[in-house]
Amino acid sequence: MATSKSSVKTAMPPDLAVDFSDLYGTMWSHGIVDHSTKEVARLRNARITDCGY
Amino acid sequence: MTWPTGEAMQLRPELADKVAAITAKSADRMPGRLELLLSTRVAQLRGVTMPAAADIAVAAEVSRWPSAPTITPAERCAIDLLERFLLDIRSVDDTTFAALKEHYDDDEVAAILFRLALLDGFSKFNLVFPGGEASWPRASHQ
Repeated sequence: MATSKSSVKTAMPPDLAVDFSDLYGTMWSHGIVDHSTKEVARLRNARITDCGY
Repeated sequence: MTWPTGEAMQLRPELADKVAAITAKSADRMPGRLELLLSTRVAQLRGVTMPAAADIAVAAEVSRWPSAPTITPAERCAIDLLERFLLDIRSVDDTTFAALKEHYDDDEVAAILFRLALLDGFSKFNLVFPGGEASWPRASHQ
């Protein structure tokens, strides 16, 4: 992807990153969908979007 | 606009407060009236309910954002990013960032991108969630 990451020196705002991590962790650790299904969805999303995660 | 739907979040109460908090906090980070303009444009593109604060004048202004004289160059730049972010993410390139940085500092750019990620994701969520807004007529893209 041609998006420039070097031109913006700040990543996610730090406090929002903390909140997001909390939300993301809750999403992974709670709910009725099993972990492996969530992982399959995560991997497919990463593949489709060319995301390194 | 309230994202995601209250009904959806009732199913996942352990997420509801966290989603509400991060949504509100990210909206508060938007410079000036940018939150209203961005959320209005997302509503137009996705055909979902307008933000409560968006009156007819604002909606009309945002719908013709490339030429509307009341839209500032900085706002125009942010809305351009929004359209690329929602409709053609691969068109966000160095030129886009160079234009943004003429108007916003790095922290503001990061906050805008974070906000767009939430608006993009939860507007899609609302469209596909049963009982959400999928039946709303899609707004015309201008």
